[in-house]
Amino acid sequence: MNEFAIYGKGGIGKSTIAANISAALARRGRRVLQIGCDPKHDSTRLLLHGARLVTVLDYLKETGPDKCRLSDIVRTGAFGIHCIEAGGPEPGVGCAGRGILSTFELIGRLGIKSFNYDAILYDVLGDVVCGGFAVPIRREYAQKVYLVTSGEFMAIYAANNILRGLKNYDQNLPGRAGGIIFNSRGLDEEDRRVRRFCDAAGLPLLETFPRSDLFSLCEREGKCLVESYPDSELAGKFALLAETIETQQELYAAQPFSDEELEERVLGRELKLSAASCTYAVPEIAFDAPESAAPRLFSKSLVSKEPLMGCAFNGAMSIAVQIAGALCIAHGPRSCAHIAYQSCTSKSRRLLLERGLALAYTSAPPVFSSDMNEGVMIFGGIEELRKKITSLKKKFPVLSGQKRIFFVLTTCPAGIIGDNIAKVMDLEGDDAKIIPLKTDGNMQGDYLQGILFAHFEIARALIDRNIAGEENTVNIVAEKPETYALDESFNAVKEILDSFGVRVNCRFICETTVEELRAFMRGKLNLLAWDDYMGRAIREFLEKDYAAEFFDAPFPVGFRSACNYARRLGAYFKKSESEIETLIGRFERRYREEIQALRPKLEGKRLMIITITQNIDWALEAAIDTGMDIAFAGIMDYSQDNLFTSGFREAIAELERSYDLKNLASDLRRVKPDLLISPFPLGAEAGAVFQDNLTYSPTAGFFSGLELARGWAEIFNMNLVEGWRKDEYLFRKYYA
Amino acid sequence: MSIFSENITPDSFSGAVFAVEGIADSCTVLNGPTGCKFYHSAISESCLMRGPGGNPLSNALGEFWFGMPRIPSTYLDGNDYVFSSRDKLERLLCSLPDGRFGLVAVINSPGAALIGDDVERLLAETVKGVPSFSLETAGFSGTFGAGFQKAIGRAVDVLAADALKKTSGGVRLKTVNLLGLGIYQKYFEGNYAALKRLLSRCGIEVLSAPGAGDPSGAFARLAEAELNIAVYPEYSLMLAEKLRAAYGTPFLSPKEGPPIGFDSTESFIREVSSALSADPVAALASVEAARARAYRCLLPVTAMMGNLRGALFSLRAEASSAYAIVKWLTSYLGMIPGSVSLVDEAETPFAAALEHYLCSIKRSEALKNPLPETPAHIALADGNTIAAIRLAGQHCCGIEISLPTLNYLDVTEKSLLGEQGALFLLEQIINGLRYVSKS
Repeated sequence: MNEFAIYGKGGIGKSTIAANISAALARRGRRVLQIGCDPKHDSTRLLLHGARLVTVLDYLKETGPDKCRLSDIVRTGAFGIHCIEAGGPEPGVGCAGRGILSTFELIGRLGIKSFNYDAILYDVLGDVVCGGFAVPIRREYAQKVYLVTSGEFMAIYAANNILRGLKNYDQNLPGRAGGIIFNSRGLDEEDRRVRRFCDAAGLPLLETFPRSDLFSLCEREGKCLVESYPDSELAGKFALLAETIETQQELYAAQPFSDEELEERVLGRELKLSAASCTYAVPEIAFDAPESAAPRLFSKSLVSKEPLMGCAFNGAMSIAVQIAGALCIAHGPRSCAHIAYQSCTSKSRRLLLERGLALAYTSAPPVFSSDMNEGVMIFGGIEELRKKITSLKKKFPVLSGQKRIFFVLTTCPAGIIGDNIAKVMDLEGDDAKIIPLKTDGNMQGDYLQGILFAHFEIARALIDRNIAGEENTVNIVAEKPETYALDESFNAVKEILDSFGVRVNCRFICETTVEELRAFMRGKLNLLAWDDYMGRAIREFLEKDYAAEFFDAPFPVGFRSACNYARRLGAYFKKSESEIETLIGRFERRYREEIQALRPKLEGKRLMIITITQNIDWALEAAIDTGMDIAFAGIMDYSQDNLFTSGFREAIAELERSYDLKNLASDLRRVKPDLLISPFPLGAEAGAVFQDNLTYSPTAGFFSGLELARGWAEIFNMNLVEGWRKDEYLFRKYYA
Repeated sequence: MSIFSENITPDSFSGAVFAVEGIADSCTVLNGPTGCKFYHSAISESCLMRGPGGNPLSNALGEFWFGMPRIPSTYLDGNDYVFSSRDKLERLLCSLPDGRFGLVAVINSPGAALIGDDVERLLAETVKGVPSFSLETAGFSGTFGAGFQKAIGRAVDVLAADALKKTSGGVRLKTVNLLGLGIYQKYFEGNYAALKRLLSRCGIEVLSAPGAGDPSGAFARLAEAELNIAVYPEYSLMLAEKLRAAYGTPFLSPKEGPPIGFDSTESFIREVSSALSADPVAALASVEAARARAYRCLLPVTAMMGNLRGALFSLRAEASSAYAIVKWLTSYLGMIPGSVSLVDEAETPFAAALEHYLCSIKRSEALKNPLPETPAHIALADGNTIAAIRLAGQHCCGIEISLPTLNYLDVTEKSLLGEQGALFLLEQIINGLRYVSKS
């Protein structure tokens, strides 16, 4: 069986040539299948005498996978030629390349090649614009590739591009280029240009078709020339070409040129690279960002061009679900919604088991999938999205005068096919406000970028700038809803605020409501939960866009930090020294008493820390206060921040930045710690040394370090032995 | 009005990934972004742990692993969607260690499936001496079962294509394959072991359960089986048909659904034994013994806390499992179905049979009742659904029968299938009801 592809610039007459080759092959008694691979679906029009057939992609839209039959999509044309048209979406929507992939997948599954065709001809869109349109030149399809060109510059450019595509697929494998088919426009120099191109590319000129009115006549008749004028000279040329293609043994490697080479060697033009001159006086445009432009803050992975960790879609979803009553629609395939849903509910499931808690925001988060399917990928998913929003409006009505917030978050596929979600904005009304979060999966960036993006977009959509600030009212900014310490940390800070008579206005954006977000400006002071990359980016945004005033310290972690925090916050709110010290004294007494009780068990013990956490003073403080020796601290590089600082630097006997875990075993032998703490299990490499966890996200408050030290004391209290650690070899024996 | 969303179940993409991850020595290469990789890597490792793991920041495994021992990925970004993933994929495939894997499968993420890279060619060029295949697309929003079977089917193509020719003796009598078991099922290892034990008592050997932890080598034995058993039809009927077409192996889809509960377990034993002319007596005796044990437990329990009869239960499961569970709980314990919600709802024979059965016991409304809000004493479902029920304010005992879990760590082997599975469920129900007052 001969399988060959015909490529060439759009409008060059490729389909006319292809149909006539098919007809000529059929006249030689061959069983021929012609597959049109162009969304315009007009490849087989002349073979079918102008009749249109059901395109594969239209068929796929309407037909269940189990009900697909070849007989529904194959139509017999002139000379018994079988015709298939891939079809495609309307211009400007969906993904036509994906359509070609789906077409080949379907006809492959239905066994098209088992029908003993003598020749299969693929008539492909004008250029190899993407992987989808290159499917016919994958090696399991076309064995030979032919280029149709005229002598026009752009046609030769297109032919050269097709050779590039072919080269990408063939690499070091035997070449598959069959040659050039010259469809003349009757222009000056045309013939010589095409011959120069053939010579330079090392390809034979297989046939030349002069400009002829016969082609136009046949077009009008809706038939191909070989059928209408079988005895014409042109029909003879097609017969010869068909024979050549069928019998051609020698094929050629694709040797495309650079644009410069093509210009000079083939087209006979010298490419001059010079600035375009301007003969008219036009106002100059300054490309500086106008002052009104919103700041664009990017995650560190994006800024540093590092691999993206997670996707913006998922990050944005983790924030959108924090707003009570809002519905979040994942516009994409169900897998994206599934992953986001499991990510949102992960902590809730664990806490239900461990503490019996059903978390209000994330136990059954209002996430819904638009369930984009194969057809939507090709034809676009806006209609499906509209239906989803409409059905959710009906399912979850709001009381009169209220508006339901709909977040529409886009996934990679929605972004790739270019779904324009602005087209659903007309569904907004008295009962609904739609806030698009166009994350496009990870095309906007990583998980952190999604978190930032959601904060920015939700702020812009909801915050009312006209609300005045109130005294003794604060917002909490940039908490991390996914952390286990969320509630304890918030409550620790709230306890301080309560004692000063300060009210929390809005948690931006964590377990909050639309009303609280709308009234964000009521909070005169903003308290940052985490002074990390995420926290700083959100702070910068709020400072620039909303002139938000921030307290200059994040949530305090550890005793000294909490004392300082309380003193400075009290001073900010003009509380008396005695009020502040009364509060601190309450915590200090308990801290000192408990630390004192732990000292006998921990004093003199050697501590080794391996961590990525950039602020570990809360843990160092507990170690120092209980009399431990901080023998070694290895601080690993972290994708978000490398800003390690410590107020206890002097107490660390050995500090190593950019720590490499490969050195752990040797460092352990040298340092000989009594206790090793790290945020992840260090397994066999840590040997028999006692290990404890150092959380990535410690709980804020006065007792963060104390809690940690209590755990250490337990370990040493009974000189406990963990015999199971010796059984790693058994695990490897039975399971690894 | 409170909003209780339904757990969003995995689709055909995850089905394909978990199918390959269920082959013990396979390597699933994800041609996609890390957002797709991290989740599947973590879940695969938690379901079927293959090694001692490591710390998440170690780069010892190399550029494409991100410190996780499963599912290397090409970490696609926006540029790759435009300019192709080929270079990264080629580097990844070339970096796979020699001799470590018995199968390499490249699966495109939904986004990567739109690019159109010629993955099959890259595989052929870079992965030598190891069976391999690629899935251009596992489907978009298709059912988990469709993706699972598509991937297992491709694995059969490359691992067992010549299997029948290689087996000198052809079909081995009284042997079966268990189809439809996979790692994304609660207690899949226990379920596999339970069925093996039961069938061995009938003198029937289980050759393999593709996708449920067997190594790639087990695929070569698939063709030797006298019978394939489609344990969960949702995850196996297409595959069973494929194997029948390829090797002529007949298959059996248990008419009472997967063997959950005593009655369907006995039915399962009789059906399989009959199909293979095996002796079911010993296996039935073990079910009988389990029934006796259950009776011994139920008698004092009912004396102590009253009848279990009349206790309300809610259920979320695939149609075949739902059918088996509903029949068992209603006919054996006299419980009442409050809400029954089907995963991947479709017009399957078991969905119809379930509807018919519920109608016959005058509880057809159970299929319409919203699960979180419908009163129940016992809920058999996945962890998310159980959490939603609790969030809806119900004082109800949740029994996990599917994933995701609430992260209870199972140390001893448990199963839902067979007579031991029935006893385990019974234990959960009895003890669950002790803490839930019937109202």
